[in-house]
Amino acid sequence: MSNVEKIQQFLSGKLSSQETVALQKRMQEDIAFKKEVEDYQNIFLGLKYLKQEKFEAKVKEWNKNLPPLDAPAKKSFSLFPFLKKAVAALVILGLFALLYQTFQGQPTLEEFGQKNYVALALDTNRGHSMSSANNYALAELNFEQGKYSACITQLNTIEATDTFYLKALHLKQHALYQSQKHQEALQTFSKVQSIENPKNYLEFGKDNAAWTAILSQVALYQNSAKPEDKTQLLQSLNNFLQENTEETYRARAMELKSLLD
Amino acid sequence: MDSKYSEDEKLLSKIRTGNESILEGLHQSYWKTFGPYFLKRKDLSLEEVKTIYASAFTNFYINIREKKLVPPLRSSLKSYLIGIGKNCMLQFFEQKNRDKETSTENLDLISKVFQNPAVNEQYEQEALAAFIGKLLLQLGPDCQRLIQLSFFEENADDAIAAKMNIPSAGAVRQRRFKCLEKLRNFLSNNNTTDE
Repeated sequence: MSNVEKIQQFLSGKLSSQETVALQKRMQEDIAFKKEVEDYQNIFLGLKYLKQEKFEAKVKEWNKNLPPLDAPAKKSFSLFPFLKKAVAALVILGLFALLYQTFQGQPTLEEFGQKNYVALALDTNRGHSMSSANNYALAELNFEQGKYSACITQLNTIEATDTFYLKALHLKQHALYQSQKHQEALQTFSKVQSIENPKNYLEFGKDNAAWTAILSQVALYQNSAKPEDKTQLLQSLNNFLQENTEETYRARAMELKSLLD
Repeated sequence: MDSKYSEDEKLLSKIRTGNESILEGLHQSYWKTFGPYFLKRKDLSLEEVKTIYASAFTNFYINIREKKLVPPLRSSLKSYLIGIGKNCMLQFFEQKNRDKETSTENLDLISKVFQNPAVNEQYEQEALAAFIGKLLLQLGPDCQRLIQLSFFEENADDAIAAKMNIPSAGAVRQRRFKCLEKLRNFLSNNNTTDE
């Protein structure tokens, strides 16, 4: 396999973990090789974006032949049918909830953790240096392919040079959680919390990071069954409920609270 | 057991082949849902919704092609496309805002828009694509065609060999390697010149 092909496979996450580690090691030791990898990364990304642009140009051509849309019919508003439907829906929902509680019982903590994991929305953030952003793109790729340990290695490289890259820390927290390294996932979350006034960074899933930390605590308590772990979990959960008003997480947190009570 | 979206899951593998007639057919058919959904907003004209649709459909196809969306599906493909459309709409508004603000001297707002990662990302992508596009033009016609067939049309090496009268798939790999090396030399020279 030529160097270029190997680099191409590395960049698309297709190398084995051993080969990946060897290549990353070579990049650290050989500056010329590191430059070669970065150059090809730019070339392959550029080719990818060019391909997207070409496809979008084609879609814009197709846009010219789009069928006309029917004018939307204006609905007259009447409260009564709406109320009738709402009442019927409530009755049905109530019956379902009753049946569910009767036959299902409460989920275990493990089931709760599996059901309530909220995946991180992956989208490459380029608000940082090109090299950090490229490393982040690689880390995301590894994450998507389930290569969590390669993802963590990549993110450690970023963390060493770009301590304010919150989203990289956030992704690391998820990769650690997925690798069942719950204690380390919690430590990463603490780092996230300790960064005040992050530079160059806007969109960060603070609620998602806090919720993933709670799920890590759930897993730790589930494994240890120690009362002190439960106390810590409840404390975090109460803080979370005080600070968090977003319904996605709030409903989950309330369910967890009732499960722990 | 068949999933709730088994029809869409079958469609997913057809989309992944990149067959243009299938894609164009979908583009026409999904418009009937996508168009009215975004036209409900009073701040978007038909032409603007069409622009958003082109970006959304492109991302939709690229994501499927790159296997970012795989079975089992948790929503219909139409819902997925509308979800992408919502992001494209936000980017569209940011872009629109930027264009408007660039003509004034409101630096606060300009800097806010430029701090948005999505907007930055878009600019970097466009700049990199333009730069690599410029470098491609410096290659000879054979290399340009080889890159076109390999990276844009994603032909297999034996198909490229047949199309370009190259003796074997192995020879295609060798030539592609040399073309990419040339491209890299151009890249290094350009970077040096820029500095």
